[in-house]
Amino acid sequence: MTDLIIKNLSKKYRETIAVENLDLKVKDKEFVVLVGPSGCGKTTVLNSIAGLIEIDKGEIWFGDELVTSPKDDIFKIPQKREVAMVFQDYAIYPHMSVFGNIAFPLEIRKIGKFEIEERVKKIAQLLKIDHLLDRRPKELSGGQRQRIALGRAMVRGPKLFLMDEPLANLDAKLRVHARVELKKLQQELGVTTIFVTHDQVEAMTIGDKIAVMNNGHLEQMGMPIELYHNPRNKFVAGFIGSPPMNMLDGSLVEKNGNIEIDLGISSIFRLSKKMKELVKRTTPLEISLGVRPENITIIEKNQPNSLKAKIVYIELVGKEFNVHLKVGGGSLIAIRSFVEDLKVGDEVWLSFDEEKIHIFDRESSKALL
Amino acid sequence: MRIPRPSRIILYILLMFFAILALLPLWSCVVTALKTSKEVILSTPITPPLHPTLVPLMKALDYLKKPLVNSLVLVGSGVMVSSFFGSLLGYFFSKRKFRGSIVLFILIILCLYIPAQVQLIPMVRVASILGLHGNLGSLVLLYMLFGIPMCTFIFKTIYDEIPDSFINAAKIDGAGTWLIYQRIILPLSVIPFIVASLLQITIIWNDFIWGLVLTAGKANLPVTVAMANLKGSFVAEWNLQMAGALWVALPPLIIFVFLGKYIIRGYSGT
Repeated sequence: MTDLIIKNLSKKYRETIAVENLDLKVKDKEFVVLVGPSGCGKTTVLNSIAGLIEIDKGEIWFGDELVTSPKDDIFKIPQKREVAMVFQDYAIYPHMSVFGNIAFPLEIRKIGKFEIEERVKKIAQLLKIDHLLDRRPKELSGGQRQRIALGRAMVRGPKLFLMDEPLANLDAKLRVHARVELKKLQQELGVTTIFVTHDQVEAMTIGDKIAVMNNGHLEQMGMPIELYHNPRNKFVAGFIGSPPMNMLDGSLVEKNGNIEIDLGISSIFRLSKKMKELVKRTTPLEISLGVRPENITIIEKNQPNSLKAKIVYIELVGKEFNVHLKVGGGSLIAIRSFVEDLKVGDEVWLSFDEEKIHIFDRESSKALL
Repeated sequence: MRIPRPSRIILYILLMFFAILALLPLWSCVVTALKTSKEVILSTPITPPLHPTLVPLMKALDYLKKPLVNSLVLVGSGVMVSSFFGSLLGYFFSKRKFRGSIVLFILIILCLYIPAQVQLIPMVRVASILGLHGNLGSLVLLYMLFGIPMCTFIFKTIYDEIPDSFINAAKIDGAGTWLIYQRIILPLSVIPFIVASLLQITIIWNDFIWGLVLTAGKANLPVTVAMANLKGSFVAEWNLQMAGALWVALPPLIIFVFLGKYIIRGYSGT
């Protein structure tokens, strides 16, 4: 139950940079998800917080206690950090019973037998595994093992929960269920939690805040809704959301006092006055136009400011359809709830909800809107 | 009934032939051990005894009693000490890697490939400096030390299969190096302990050369060397020697029959 502050963290493995100049602030009781493609450095950050690895540069603070700072020669060993960690493979000891596994951290702390029993039982009841305490881990299902791992983490009331893809090994249905339960538990216990995943859907649903990482850098941190609607750069825009944001390469052209986006092959998208004001500040020529699948409207007739497209494929995804389209040299996906009027091969026109488009500088990939 | 194909029949005949060929020394050993001295001279080594007798077996046992106990002491101490240190070293090399640990591990493994012949004279020197030359203590010490590389190798390979997350989880839960070894590693070491013990037992029990050069006097000999002495000075008493060989071969034979699968695991390193 503490804040977590990471300042300027860098870590190299031989010549490979795992994390570079990362700053992260997590408030007390907050649930923060570190998300990014594999190899982006998120597990390195988690292991640095736990003290399982030493870092090259930077500081890690638990509240007002400095736990890691190579500059000042400070490194608190993991045994003394009072954090708890849940691993992807759960790390449940096969030679101990469920009770033994959950009681392990307490036994190490030489807590009395009676108290151990009481605390393990309480946690087991909370996790609904109290009927399994005498069993051996190998007799249990994936979901049950995951709960044991959670139980072992919760039983000693740590300052911080660290979770390394704890739901990755569950099947899809169970994962959705476990997600909700985990979130509820965390709110009940009020323990600051750092949760690592590569699954952006998981990140969106479970986190109070999401920190998107890529190539050892923190790309953006914020509430899920913020990241979804206001991605700071092209990477975040493409990573958050499923299907991902559509990107069309084009150039900004000023014509008769208006700003237009030339998408090539006579596809031009004209911005309104209001938008013009927003974009004006910087005017790089080469840009990417980003638009989310749900903000594309498919129309049958040409209208002002619409793009000609061809339907390539229609995909049924539950209650909605993903309509795959070809526009000039690029391709787009639009979401629609009905497709009776469309068929593959049709020529259609697309209009975008102007309020919801994104423009990125193609060189720096930063958002211009 | 299905008639087997001719190629199968030929295969089985060949296999049978080689099996008989391989078993011939054992057969010869057993039948000779059951013969009287006179019959040994009068019959071929593979003809069954006409008047079987247990006298050579009893005589050999009587002679080998003390050496058998000696070898048991060697095996017991060697197995316990080397597998304990092997397990500790294996833990460090597998789970507590440090700078240079790979080089150190390779050096330890290289010890397995130094032939005993080149170590004979240095070891005799070392034993006499320590004042242990000639008595059983020199062998006890030698097998304890010489068993460590093999045991380290076995334990490290098997410990490599234990996920690192077990160690990390225990660390975060508050356990130090020693406690992790005691509570996590040791309870998961039943298989490597069996494998390492079996290999050590076979190696120490069957070893001949070290017993020959480092010990002297019947009271100090390991059983293999004592068995060679059964030959007799003037007349070769084959029946006595074969009876002795049977006694010596018996313990490893029992182990192989019942626990052979673990030895295979040891050699295949899983």
